[in-house]
Amino acid sequence: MKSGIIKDTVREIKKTKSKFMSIFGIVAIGVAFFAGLMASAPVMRWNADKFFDDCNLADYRILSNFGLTKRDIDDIKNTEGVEAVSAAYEKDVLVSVGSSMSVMRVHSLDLDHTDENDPEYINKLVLIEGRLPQKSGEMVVEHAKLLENSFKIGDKVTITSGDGEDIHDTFAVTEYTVVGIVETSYYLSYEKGSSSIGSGSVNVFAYVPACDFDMEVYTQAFVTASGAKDINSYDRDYFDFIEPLTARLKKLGKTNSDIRRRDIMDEAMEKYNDGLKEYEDGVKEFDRQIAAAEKKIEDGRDEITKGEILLETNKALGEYKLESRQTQIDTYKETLKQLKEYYAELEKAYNDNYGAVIEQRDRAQAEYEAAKRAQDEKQLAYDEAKSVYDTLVRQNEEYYTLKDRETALQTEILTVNGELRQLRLQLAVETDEEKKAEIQTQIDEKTALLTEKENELTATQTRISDFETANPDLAGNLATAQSNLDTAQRELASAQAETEAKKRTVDGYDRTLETARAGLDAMDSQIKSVENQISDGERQIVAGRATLTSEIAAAQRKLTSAKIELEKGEKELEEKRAEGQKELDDAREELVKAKAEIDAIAEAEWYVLDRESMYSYMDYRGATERMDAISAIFPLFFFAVAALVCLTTMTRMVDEQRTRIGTLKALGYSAPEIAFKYIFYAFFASLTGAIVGLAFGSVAFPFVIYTAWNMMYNLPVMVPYFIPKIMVVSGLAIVTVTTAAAFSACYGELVETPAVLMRPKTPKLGKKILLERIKFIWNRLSFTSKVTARNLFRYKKRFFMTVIGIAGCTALLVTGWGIKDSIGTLVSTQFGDLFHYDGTARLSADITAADREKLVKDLKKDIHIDDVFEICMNSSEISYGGETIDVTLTAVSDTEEFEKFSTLRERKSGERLKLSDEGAIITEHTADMTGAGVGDIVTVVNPDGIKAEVQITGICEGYIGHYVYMTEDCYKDIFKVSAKPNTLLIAKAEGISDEAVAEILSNRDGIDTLGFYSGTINNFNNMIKSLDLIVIVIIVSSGALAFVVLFNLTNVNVSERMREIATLKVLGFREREVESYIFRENLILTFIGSIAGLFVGKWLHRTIMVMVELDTVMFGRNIEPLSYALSVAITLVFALIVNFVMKKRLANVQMVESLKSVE
Amino acid sequence: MSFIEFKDVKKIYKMGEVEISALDGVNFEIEKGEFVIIAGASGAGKSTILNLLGGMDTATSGTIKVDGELVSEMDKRQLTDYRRYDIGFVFQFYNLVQNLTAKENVELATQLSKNPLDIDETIAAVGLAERKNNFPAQMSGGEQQRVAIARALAKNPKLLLCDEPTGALDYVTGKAILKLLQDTCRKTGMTVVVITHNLALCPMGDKVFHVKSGKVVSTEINENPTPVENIEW
Repeated sequence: MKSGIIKDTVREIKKTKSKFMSIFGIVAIGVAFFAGLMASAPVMRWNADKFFDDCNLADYRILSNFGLTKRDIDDIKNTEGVEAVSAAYEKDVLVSVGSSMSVMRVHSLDLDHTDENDPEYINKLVLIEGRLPQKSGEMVVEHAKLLENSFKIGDKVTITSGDGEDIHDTFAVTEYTVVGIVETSYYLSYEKGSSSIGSGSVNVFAYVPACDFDMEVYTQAFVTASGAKDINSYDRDYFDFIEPLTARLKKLGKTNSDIRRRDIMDEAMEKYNDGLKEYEDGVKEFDRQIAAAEKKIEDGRDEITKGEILLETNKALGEYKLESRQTQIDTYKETLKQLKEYYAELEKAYNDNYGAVIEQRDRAQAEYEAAKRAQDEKQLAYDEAKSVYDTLVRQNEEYYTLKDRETALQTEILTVNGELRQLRLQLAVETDEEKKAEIQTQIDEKTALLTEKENELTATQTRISDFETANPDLAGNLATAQSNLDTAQRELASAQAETEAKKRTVDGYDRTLETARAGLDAMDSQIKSVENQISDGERQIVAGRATLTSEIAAAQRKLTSAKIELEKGEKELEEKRAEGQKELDDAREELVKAKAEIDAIAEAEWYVLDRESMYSYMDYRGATERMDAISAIFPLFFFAVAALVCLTTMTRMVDEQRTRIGTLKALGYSAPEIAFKYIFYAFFASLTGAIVGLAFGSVAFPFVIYTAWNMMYNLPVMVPYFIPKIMVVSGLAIVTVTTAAAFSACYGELVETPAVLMRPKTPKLGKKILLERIKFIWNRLSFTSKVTARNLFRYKKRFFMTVIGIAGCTALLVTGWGIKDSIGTLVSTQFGDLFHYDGTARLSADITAADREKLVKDLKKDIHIDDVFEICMNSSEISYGGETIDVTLTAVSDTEEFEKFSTLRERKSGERLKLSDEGAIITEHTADMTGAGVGDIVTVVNPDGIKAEVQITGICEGYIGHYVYMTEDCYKDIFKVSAKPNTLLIAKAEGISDEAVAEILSNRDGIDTLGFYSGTINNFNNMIKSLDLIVIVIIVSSGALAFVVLFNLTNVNVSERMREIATLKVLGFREREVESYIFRENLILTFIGSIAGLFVGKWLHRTIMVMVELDTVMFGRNIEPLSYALSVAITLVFALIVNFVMKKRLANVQMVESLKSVE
Repeated sequence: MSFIEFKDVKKIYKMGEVEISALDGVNFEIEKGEFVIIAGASGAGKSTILNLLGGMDTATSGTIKVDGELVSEMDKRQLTDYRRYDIGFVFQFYNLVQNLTAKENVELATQLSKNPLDIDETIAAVGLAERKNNFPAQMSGGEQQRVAIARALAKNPKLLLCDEPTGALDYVTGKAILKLLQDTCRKTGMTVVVITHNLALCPMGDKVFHVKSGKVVSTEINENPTPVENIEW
């Protein structure tokens, strides 16, 4: 190589620094973007797989609907190609987090296998904080990046059942202490899949020791395949590698599940039959009970009728009795009257007839009384005589008594004198002194006694003498008195006899009168007794009437109460009948469900799920696929623009150097030697650009994108991973394109002879442009406009290059902004225009209809809550044409009311859709993904596993989630099971926080879980933030590209027209005029380019949107006018900046240039 | 006072450390309506004189007066106006805008002028009435130079500056162009300055300045300039 050429080349580069740098820049940006974006998805996959390997993520998850037995686990372990097996339990439960209930998926952790290097420690946990569980009752929970209410170490967690089953059926321990916060490759994102309980999705995961589970069989087995870690599980090779093992495991599953299935089937069938029998018995029992109750009511009714008749009879009878009594009394009264008359007659007769008798009797009485008086006188006389006689007798007796006494005393005195003498003799004889004394005493005594007797005798004698003195003739007196007394006695006796006679006369009269009197008295007593009888009778009638009345009243009361009883009985019967009917219906539904379950069992088998059925693996794969989608078109487009601009630049450069090529050729340099400069220039610029771009782009872009996606995922910090293929291909491509452009341009020149080359290239013919033919426009254009217009169309190549380049940049910008729009407006549309409620509350499975109604009523009244709506909402599946996707199945009772909570409308026309009983309305994304349209019949599954077909009657707008809406009647019609409301849609009152509502709801019984869309909106916003960042990367990169492209094109434009500019200056064009002359073209080209870019951008956006779309989220198809405006504005602003920079260059164009010869 | 006065005009280019003196004290005067030839070898400084006179460059020292205005003291803006209104320029390589027809190239200039001449008449005057709607690439060199002259004249300038107007033309055409220039000068009283290295042209000027090493070495005044037709080279 001649040193001159090399020197020239080096100088050329130095001289045309800006051109060199612009090629360098375009190549660098283009390659960085291309290689970086292309590598992003593979880098994401590689890093994810690395994390999976580090965490010993299972290659298989084996499930069976009957669970797995120890034998199954051993069989799996012994299968060829299996590295390790970990048998595990899993159960979704409810826990309270903050003020609301969340769904927690509890996994078992085998405490025997927690060593980092133990191959049987599958799905290793990454500790963020704390430690792993070591004993029963300890728990580790998810490190929740995005959840507001998360757990802390030391928290106490109580788990409760969410499916109505006893929590103790599954768990031995229900109270746990959080001892650690973990992440796991098994759950890469906060999205952990769906749950059959609560709000329908898993909010948080946790691991507890396996011994805290109390289940008969394992729920699943995690399996790792030997040698699978060496292969990236996101590669097809991986699946080819594990294919034989998959087949072996499936075969094992068939064998093992057949045996187990039979057992389960028998058991289930038995249970079903029992249930059926129970139901039938229930029906019989129901009929029997109802019949009995009806009979009882009939009897009651008869009884009442009888009672009524009896009552009437009794009443009549009573009345009759009373009446007859009355009659009797009346008879008595008549008798009484007669008697009284008779009596009066009798009395009169008595009075008339017995007057004389009474007179006689009275006379006799008087006589009698006179006789009585005479008798009494005689009596007195007698008594007097008697008394005198008695006194005399007594005196006589007294005298003789005294006489007797005197004789007695005289005798005694003699006796005592005798004794005294005796004693005096004794005394005289007696020698003994003592005896002498004694005798002496006796003598003394006798002497005393003698004295006394003598005294008494004296006294008596005195008295006798006194007495004789007083009564001188006692005996004579006595005889006289005796005769007087006898005379009186005789007189008295005759008087007494007379009285007696008189008395008898009176008594005779009295007896006659008495007899007459007794007749009257008998009559009188008879009257008295009749009177008594009458009054008694009357009293009896009064009492009888009272008794009768009270008895009838009592009987009537009894009847009335019997009637009430009967009515009650009838009502009760109705209620019982309804209740019983309902119970029977329920039982029947249970049976239908049970049958469906059995049918399901009949189809069951082992599920050998590889990583393609693993939520987090697939979720992340989805993310990388979206990234792939973006990098499939975007960088290619970008790259194409860059390559195009490089090509233009190189072509222009070679064109400009035409004379120099000619000169060199004339000097005798060979063609390769001459071409070397340009090829080297192009090669060097593009190679250095490519190297710098690759070095930067291969790390920076994947890093930014990986990190952005990692907002949703918990992968570790990115490990750079280079994909030589992409690097080499992209580098090589751009270097080749640029160099080839230089080569072909050179080749075009080099084939010419030096002479031709030395002469200026024949200028292109000026041509009339189409516009000139439209005279009235053309003539109106100012002169410079004409020049501009003609220039624009004259250099078609430049025109298209510029327009395409700029259009590309604008298109990239439009796409970038458009992605932002499509994602950004979706949340506000979904939760502002379509959903008019703020959250949902899942009702307990066992809540009664009455409680539910009350709850709804109460909530409607609450000032914190604007309105609530009860709805039946379940996770379900929809199938059409071989596609099956998860949907939320809703059955609506009141469609009018529902419209207040959810707007069903057609997206494009905005037309309202009405739910009818004929079929279902599905969301647009659901329709897109399944391919089902209006009028098609799709298959849906209800929560009981019953499959049914339903016709699509409408497709409504909806972005987040898949929904199938139908009326309750339609639901019942297709599933043969009624839709029971299980969810409340809640619209908050204005200005009320979620927490306030949550507090009210969580204080109510019957609410299981609570979810507010603010959380979903937050989560979603976080999720799209990652896409947002990518969009920013795209916008910035596109902006940079736009700038470089514009700079380059303007640069080419200016250097190409140096002479023209100089000439214009010499002609006296002012600076502004020169600028506008040149830049007007640029601006117009930029403008045309950006307008064209809008259309390209719209197309690019749509293509990318469809590819990027998430399974559960439909992005908007819209691009806001502002985004179009912004894209054009950004491009134009860049154009203006470029123009501003180029101004200096224009000012520096020397007028002397115009004098130079044409090179 | 003369129409154009150059007094002790010096122009020194600085190329890094080295100073190159392009003009080293040039003095001359030109009267209104004169046809002046400035002749000299390559590098003598005649182009520099033209640049200074045409307001494309500024002198290092000395004064340049044109029609009583001190061109040497003008700033960039004033120089632009000076070029715009007072100067008509004819280039060696015509410097037509390729994308404009003959007429439009002329129009381009007239748009700048305050009192331009009638375009069609001017074109007719240079003998191109038939070809006025042709693009430069469709014309011969002579024709292009005629367009260039028409462009310069149409502005109705005070001064017509021509830089080697025949340099790129063949003999016959060159002569025709020169005749056009001379006739224009005579007919319209326009002051015309022609720069050339061709000494054969000298007799046709009213005044001829010979330039050498940045100085005017001699001044010839022809009382009766030879018509172009009679000059041979």
